Amino acid sequence: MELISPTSPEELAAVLAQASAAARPVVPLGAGIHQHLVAPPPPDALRLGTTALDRVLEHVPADLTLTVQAGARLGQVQVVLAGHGQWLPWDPPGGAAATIGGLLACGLAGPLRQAYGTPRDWVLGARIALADGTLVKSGGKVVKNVAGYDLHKLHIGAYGTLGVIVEVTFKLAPQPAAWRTLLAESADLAGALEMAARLAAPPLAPASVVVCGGGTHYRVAVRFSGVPAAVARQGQYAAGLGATALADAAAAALWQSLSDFGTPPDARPLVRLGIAPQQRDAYRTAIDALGAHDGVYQPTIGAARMLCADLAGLAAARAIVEPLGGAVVVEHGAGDAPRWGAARDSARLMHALRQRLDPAGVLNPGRAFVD
Amino acid sequence: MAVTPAARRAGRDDVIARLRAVLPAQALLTHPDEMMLYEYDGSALDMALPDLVVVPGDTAETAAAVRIAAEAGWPIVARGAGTGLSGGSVASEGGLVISVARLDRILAIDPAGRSARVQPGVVNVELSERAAPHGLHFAPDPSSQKSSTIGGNAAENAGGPHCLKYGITTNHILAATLVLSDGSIVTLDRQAPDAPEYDLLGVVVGSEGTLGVITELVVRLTPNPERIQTFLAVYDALDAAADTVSAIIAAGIIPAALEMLEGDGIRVVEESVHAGYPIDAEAVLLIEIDGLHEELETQASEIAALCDRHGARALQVARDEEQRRRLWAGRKGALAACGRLKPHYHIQDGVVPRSRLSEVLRLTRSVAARHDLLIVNIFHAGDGNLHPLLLFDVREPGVRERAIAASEEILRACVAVGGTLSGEHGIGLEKRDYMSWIFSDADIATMLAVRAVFDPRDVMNPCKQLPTGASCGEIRHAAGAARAVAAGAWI
Repeated sequence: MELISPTSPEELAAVLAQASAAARPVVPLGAGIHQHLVAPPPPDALRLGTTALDRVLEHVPADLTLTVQAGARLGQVQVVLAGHGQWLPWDPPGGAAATIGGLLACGLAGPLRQAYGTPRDWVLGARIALADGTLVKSGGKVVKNVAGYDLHKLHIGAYGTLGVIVEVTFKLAPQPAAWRTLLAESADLAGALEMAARLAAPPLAPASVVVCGGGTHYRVAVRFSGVPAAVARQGQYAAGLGATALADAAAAALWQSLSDFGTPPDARPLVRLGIAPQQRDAYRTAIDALGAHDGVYQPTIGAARMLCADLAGLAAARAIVEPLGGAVVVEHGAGDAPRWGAARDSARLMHALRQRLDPAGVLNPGRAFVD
Repeated sequence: MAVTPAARRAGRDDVIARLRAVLPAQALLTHPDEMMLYEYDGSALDMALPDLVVVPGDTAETAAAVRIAAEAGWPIVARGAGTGLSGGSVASEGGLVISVARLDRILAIDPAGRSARVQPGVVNVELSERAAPHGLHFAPDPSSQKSSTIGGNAAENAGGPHCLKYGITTNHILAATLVLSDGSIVTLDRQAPDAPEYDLLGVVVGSEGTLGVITELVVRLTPNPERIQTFLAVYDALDAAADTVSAIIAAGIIPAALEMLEGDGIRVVEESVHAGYPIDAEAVLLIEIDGLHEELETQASEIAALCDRHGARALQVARDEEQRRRLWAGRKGALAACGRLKPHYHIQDGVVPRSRLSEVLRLTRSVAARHDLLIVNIFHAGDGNLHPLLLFDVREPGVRERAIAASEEILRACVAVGGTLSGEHGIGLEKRDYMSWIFSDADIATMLAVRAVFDPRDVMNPCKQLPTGASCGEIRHAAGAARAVAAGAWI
């Protein structure tokens, strides 16, 4: 497939305009790390890369704001921010080498979402190249702004089907002064989930609580961030609940592996589950139904990502989760199984929106949930 | 497209008959005397009597009323408590006002899920009161929180002092049930993470009633902090206070709230509220931090050092809850107290980068001097959200025009330093025609395209928020600007 890597937003937009005019499918591409999350591209598609749009346009440390081009790699941006004691509290899968635009388009987030939320909470504005070649922006560069619709939110998790993100402004956070990670073990999922709930309840306010494993061996990892004394007190409290402290180097490696779980994928189907976090029973029974081999679970968020032996339990898991507003998505290795699950209540609006913003249907056609 | 006023008058009896068929008798207001309450909002910027008002009791009644009005080509304006400050709930083009006053129930509080299911007419502060036994609260705390509704907060993406740390309303809305202009009902539910769905909810929140009528919400509840500490920093110079704010943020400290009062505002607030502010101060900062005990100790010493380094004359800490309440009463009572200075006001809501505060504050003073107006800044300093309060007496010839000119000049200065038109009050009617200062024609056309997806008939709060160039009326600046003060609002 042909790859074009424009060196300016205008050039990128012009490529889109031509593709729309010729009705030629376009595959927007960052570092290409997460292309497996959507269906394979049409054979005649043009790959439109953003990696040449990799500049940090404006970092104002005193305002805790950052404007970057979409092709900048998250790992490199974090290095720049770390020099000022700041960061984006965002640890998505493949985050070191993936581009910011690609990560946003895929709507990815990692274990830090427990305390810090998702990029939706940190994006102040964005510049988008629409399918017809128009460059538009929404939001702005200040931390509080209600002027106009927050259209940038539409592109987070849209897999590039509504436009190509070319520039993003973030609110930043100061880096925590201290970290501490503890681990607990459980022979079954129910026990691990119960432990995770206790580790996330007051007086604890963890940065992350994750269950990992499968079969008869599960681990519960918790980490605290903040001022040293508060981190120490929470660490002691968590130890009292039965968790054991982990050394810093081992903790860093553990969290990296938890963030990157399933990335890159192997031969097994990679399944993502999301349900409102209060639906604890449905969460557990849906995971059981999938018969997961191995997984990373965030029960206090209602999220899970699993490698399954097969997809025999997919329909049963969906039957549990979908009536409660949740979803089970086969991120990779779907084979003939339906990747996205049942249509959501907003399907009609979503189709109308896609039709309106990409009338020629050139942006990742047939690849995401909307087609 | 909405029909002409004459066509609405001609079809009014027919619309009334159709509404009577689907609504209980008391849910339909037709007489001008009954509808007068609905002709303005907190800004008193514009006034307009709707053609009819309905007060539906559930989603189905709302959808039925919307369908009837839309089929008649009438504008549809949803309305909460009417405390908005940008004209969002004023029926400027006439039509049907849908009050959510009867949709006022808290349907469920889920302590485990830290969320609540509410109807849009629930008053903001009531939800926090009901959640308090669970150690939870609803974080957005707009100044109007004692009267404004959660539906209105969501429509306007409302702010408040504690949004500095906890984020504005959009960060706290998890799901919404929306009635579209064809009378259909759609649920936008983001309680489940990572759902394969466009973030339509993120567009609906803050859309000022232009995409649909919200009839139910699920909102996030936030755990109450382990501890709260509140400080009053006192300054003899405005610049020193502004520089302290910039320094606190630059040091990476995000307080729960960081508010400023300056100039004559301090004196009148103290005279009316007795909050404990020194009346000879040039500026005061109200700084609140919350979180874990140890976090507070660290932050408190850092903040004290920064206040000292930037020339604070004194730094007091609230000894107890009563003193904390009084310090906040001063801030919350500031707008009303300023009524002692002049009978009328106009509030600006521009935002600037936190590093540019002192230069813009100085500019507001020079603008006021040049236009011969009294100006008081009482605002959310920590997130750069200015609220210059232009005070005047409309009986003075030409003063209203001078106030509007001064207001525009300040707003242009906010935009010039990289800021924006509104931090929390919304665009509505007030700033609709300023949108081109920060957005290109293509930006606005894209927003209008998204609006058309939700509302192809263009009947949902038409002529608000986005300049359409269509047949929208000129914005009229009403004279009676003291109403919100009488209602006890603050900013």
